[in-house]
Amino acid sequence: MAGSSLQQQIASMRQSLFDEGLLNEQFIELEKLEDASDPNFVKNVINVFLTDSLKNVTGIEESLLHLKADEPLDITELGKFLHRLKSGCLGIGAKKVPIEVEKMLQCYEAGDMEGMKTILPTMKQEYNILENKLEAYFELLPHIEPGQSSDPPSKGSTSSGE
Amino acid sequence: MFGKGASSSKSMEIIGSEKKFSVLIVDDDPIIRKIHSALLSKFTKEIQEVKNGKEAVDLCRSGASFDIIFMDKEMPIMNGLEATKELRAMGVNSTIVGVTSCDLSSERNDFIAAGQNQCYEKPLTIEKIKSLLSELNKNN
Repeated sequence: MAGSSLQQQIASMRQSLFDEGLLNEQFIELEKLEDASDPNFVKNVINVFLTDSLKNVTGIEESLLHLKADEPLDITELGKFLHRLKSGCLGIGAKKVPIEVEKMLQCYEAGDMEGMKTILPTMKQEYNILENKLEAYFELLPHIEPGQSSDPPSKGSTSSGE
Repeated sequence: MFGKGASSSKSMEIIGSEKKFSVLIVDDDPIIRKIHSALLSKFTKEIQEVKNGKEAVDLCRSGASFDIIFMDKEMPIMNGLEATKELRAMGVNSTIVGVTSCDLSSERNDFIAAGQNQCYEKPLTIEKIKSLLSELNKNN
């Protein structure tokens, strides 16, 4: 019964990722790519995302807020961080974070540094929420015992959330 | 849709119902490389990945050839448009498919002008790849 309860908890956590508008159908496309030859595909992709996106978020913040005072602002580097973050978010199906990154990119293209600084706190907040939720979800997944299905009962159902 | 360079230098072999073709994934984003590699592995086992346009150019210059090159646009060192122009200037006539995280409607002309055959918004999906392969098979 404990296994069933854990499965339900995982299913509920997964559904909340869609219901709260954090992820879109692209995440389901990733799940479809997982098979016997690569059973940890989604977890591996998310791990790469969390590592890479943290670097990009940090890079954006350090560039914008000029935290490395002894180094001049590298506008090209800032653009690279923004594009990489957006790309990674699109890859895993993140919904809210790329919206904020796109707003920052539009300011970036317009040379509007102050605009980017205004959006930065919201982007970071959305990223932190996504990061925490994904970490909590994938922390639970390995605890499914052999023989138990890792497929939540409502796998494939999403909130339209659009 | 398919402009110059539409025919691949390597014909796609069809053995029974299995089509064999080679692809090169060019993207600085390790997440996208991983996802696109997994996607494309459903269609072919001949997949290589590089991290930017210069690596793609260097690889082709060394003699490697590919049926399809999936080319990201925004990359350090050499971006996708520059790499595409370089590859076409070298005589590479692989099908080059642009992949972008930007709005496609504003990017399409740049892609085609650079010499790409087709372009998609990131990320690729099974349906986009099936559609692309269907077009390529029709043209071949």
